[in-house]
Amino acid sequence: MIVELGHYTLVLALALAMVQSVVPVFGAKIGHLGLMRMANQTSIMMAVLISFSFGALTWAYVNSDFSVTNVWQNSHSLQPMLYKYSSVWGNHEGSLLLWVLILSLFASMVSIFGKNLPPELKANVLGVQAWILVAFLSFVLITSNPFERLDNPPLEGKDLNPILQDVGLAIHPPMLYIGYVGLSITFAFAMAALISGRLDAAWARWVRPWTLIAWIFLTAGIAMGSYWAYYELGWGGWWFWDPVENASFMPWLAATALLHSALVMEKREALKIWTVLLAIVAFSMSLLGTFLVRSGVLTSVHAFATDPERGVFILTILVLFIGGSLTLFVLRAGILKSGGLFAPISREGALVFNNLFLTSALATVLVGTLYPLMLEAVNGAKISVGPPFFNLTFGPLMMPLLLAVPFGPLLSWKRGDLLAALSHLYWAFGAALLAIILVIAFSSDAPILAALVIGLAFWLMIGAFAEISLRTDVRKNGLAKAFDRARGLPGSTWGTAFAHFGLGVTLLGIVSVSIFETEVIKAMKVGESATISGHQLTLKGINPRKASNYNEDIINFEVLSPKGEKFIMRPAKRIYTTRRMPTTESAINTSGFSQLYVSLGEVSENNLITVRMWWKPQVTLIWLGSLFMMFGGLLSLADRRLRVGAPKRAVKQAKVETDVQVPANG
Amino acid sequence: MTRKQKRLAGIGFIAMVLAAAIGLVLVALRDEIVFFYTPTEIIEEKKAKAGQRFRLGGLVKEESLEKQGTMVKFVITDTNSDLNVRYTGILPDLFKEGQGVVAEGVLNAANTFVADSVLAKHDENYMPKEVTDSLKKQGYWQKTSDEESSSK
Amino acid sequence: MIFWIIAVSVTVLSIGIIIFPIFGGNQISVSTLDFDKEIYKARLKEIEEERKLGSIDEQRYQYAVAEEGRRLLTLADKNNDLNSTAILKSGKSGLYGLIFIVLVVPVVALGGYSKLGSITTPDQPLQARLEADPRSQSVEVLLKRAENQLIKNPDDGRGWLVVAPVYMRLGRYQDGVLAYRTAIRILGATTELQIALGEALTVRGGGVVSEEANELFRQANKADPENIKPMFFLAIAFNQVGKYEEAVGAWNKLIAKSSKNAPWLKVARQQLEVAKTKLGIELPGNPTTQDIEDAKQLSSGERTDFINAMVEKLAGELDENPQNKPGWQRIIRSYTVLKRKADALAAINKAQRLFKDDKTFLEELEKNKQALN
Repeated sequence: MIVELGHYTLVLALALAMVQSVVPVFGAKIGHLGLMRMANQTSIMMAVLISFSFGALTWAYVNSDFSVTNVWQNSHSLQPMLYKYSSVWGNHEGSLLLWVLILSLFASMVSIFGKNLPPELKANVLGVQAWILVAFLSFVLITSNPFERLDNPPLEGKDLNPILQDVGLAIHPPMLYIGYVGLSITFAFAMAALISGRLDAAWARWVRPWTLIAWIFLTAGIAMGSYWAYYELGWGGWWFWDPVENASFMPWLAATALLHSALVMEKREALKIWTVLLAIVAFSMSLLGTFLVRSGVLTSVHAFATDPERGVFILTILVLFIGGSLTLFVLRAGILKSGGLFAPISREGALVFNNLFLTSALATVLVGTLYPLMLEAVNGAKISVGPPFFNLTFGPLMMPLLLAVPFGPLLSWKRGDLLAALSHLYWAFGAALLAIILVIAFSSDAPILAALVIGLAFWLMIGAFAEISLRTDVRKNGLAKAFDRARGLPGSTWGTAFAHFGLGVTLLGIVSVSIFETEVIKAMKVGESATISGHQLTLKGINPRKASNYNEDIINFEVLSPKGEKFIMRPAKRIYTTRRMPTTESAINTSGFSQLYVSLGEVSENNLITVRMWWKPQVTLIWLGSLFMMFGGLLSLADRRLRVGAPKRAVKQAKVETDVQVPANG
Repeated sequence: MTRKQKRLAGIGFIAMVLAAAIGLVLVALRDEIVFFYTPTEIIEEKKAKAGQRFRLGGLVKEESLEKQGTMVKFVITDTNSDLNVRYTGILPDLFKEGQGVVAEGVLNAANTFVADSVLAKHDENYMPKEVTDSLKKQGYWQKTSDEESSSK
Repeated sequence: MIFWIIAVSVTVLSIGIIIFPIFGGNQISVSTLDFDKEIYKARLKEIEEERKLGSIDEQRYQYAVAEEGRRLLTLADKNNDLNSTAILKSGKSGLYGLIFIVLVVPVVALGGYSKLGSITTPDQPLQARLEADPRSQSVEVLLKRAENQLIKNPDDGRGWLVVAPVYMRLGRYQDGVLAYRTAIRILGATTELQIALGEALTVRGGGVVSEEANELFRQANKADPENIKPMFFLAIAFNQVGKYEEAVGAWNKLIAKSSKNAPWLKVARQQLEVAKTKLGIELPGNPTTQDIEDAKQLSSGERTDFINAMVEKLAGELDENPQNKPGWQRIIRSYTVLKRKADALAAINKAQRLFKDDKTFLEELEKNKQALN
């Protein structure tokens, strides 16, 4: 009965969402306070119902209830408990349910924390959120229902795809979804502004923190996905410009742009219309991302033909939301008044520069991702757009942007002084120059371009803290006072510094691993050795091992590092018993920021093993940089200035209400 | 500069960046995309010249896999034509004779496809899309799925 | 029933919670501009704080304060303009909202669920299914329980012995072979186990006595010359590899040792005849091409006989335990090969009735049927 109750609460949530998508918006239109306020209770109620529903599905997974088709198809009674949980969202139906759950939780957060929002704005925002909920809930219930049942349930499930049975991939989708769905809030705010034709001051204050939350989780999700691909797929690559990756990267680019333009809007009330547009674009990218990955359209356009119901539904949702919101934008954007003027060289100017390049880069990624699909749909030709395309388009667009990053925070609002900004950047400039010279001097085979990009990375890392050094000014104020001042700086200033620093760190990791990586492939027998970048690897032996749902051969390598340390590395070949699917577990040893990476090929009959080894210098910086970015985002989010109380009068009024509770017509 | 000139300069700059982005995309779409072919399209229709980079998809021919240290040779077939493939490195876990595969690389003068990446069938529900499509075209797809069901 | 009580209460509760605020408010007038004012004021305060901390210079401070001040002034202007002050009221429209909610929610929720849900299907968590009263359970469930025990304790040789024959009965021959092998590994090879493994291997091989099975039967025969089973299979093996002289000897011995109404006698006599006929042709002089042709036909006839024997056995098993999908697949295939069309059709029909929920199997059966016609 638990499962069926979960199914029922999901349908009930759909019914509430239908109400929610009409009533509050109508209330806002006619100015009826009660009809607007019911949105609060409804969104919380929906979150409760969907949570219960998600809990019921999870219960079915944990208890291996194979009478639920979805459970039977994607889990196995012998899976470790963690993967029983992660199996819930390791498939199409369950992951959409997770999406819906997060969406409803976010909507309820708006209603709980939104006391300082004008009631009309809040009603419209929650109404728009409910539109999205209606679309997704119907999609889940009609085409991808996780609660479908089997009459004669088998005694064993078909197991979760082994390559998904990994801690990294257990957490990756929820992270990414929180990011995707977080952008739905800014989208709802944008739509609410277009509906009411008014951009309240609260708008900008709200959009930035929500974008920040979405952005932090997107960053985490992408970084985790990238690290997962790096160690689990055994190819040693960390980014493939694969459509699935692009699907998560595009919302990130849009969110990054939105983060910056929201800043201009909040501080200067400029770029309003543009920010609204970006909010729409960012969420459109989320929708596209969700569906690109989930619909199977990436595998082939023909996936639509094999499952037309889902395909048509997805297309309808995309057209309705992206097309509809853009139409509304075109019709109503004119009503929004544009704000303050500024000179091209100014903080605003710098942020416009940022937005220009980020959105252009976003457009190139979008073209690269969708072009093969469109070409195939049009004339059947099959092409793949791979890294060379993106290196040629995305790369050059990023360079001027990265070069400009340190300037941004140093320019003042309205009218800035480029030379003065530059004069605060001499440390960064010196560090960059030094890095370039050192790379050219000590590494004869590194291309000049690589040296320049390494210089750029240092420029970014050191330049990121220029604003803080300027505003604390140790030389003038002395250490103690400077420290006080540094503590007093707003969180967003520190946040900016860390995020930009992280960007530099990631860039350094990328260049360093692409240029200085070494690779050795060797067929080895027990007792043989191979050498890579000063490490000597000796194949010691093969140990078979049995785990609950797979068997594996662990290959033991003894490694002698250049510093004379000895350690063991244990890559393995696994066979998952249910699907009879082989996988390779690579072994990674981290020393400093660099990693030694060992992956395996097939073990042939005479115990000859193909071993692929990489030395990946500074590779961890790629993900370390993303940690800095997330930390920066958190600092920014913690900024006390983002919190605003509700107007006194409205608060008082609300209190009176709860005390009196007189029915209007009573 | 007057305000109007400033505004024009701003618009000019934006237009320049956008033009550059569009230019890059067009160049990249001309030079950097990789076409997908089947062995038949290479052997009979000569769609790719030696030295050109493309993706080759089909089935790994039974009993064609040959290992020489870390180098492997095998034959990709669409049941109509066969093409020899050479690859150095680690084959994916799911690489098997008789299974679908997509290799990316360059055709050399001796009509051998020198691959630098090999993708295999992902799981039982997934086959590289190009492979299923081309096999369907060859009328082979139906046959394989029949075999599967009858061997159960 | 309990389900519907809960479902309806949840629905009623939800409706109650969401309609409650509709009539909760008095007529109040709130200017949305007040919210804006609050934010500008908050910002002014922040600017002051920053100045106190010295993290913004005097010029920037002046700029910022001037800007916020200007915004507050604009607000004040707007406030005088009555149109921008929203009068929020409650009243009749609330009733329409209420009616809408009370109509839509139950209809969509209850209607939608009765279309989508499967209320009759109870929860069936695996553990509970396995722990239910053994008497009411199917063989599969009991087997699964035994399997789970074996996963926890894989060195339990007796456990493997328990599941092995069940596997064979269910047509999971591969698993049966594995179970016997494991049992032998743990308990050591006894004659009985060797025979069982040999038989399992033979059944898995579709009746062909493999090299390995043959060896097992030979050992068993040596250890226990009186046991009929190894003799039977060894004799069959002789027939299969064409050693008819030995076959004739083996069959004769077997028949002599068997009691008069032993069930295997029919097959044994048949096989003996086959071997004898075969011998009769092959013994005299040089075989002609014609002879070889005949031999081929005969040997295929002999194969048919054997298959017939196996099929009868299988049919018996299926009568006993019809929930054996691979068994049905095998018997249908066998009937088809043997050109016993009527039997094949009957088996297909029966299987179709038995497995009416298994779509893929049904398709397969339909195909088989068409192939027959």
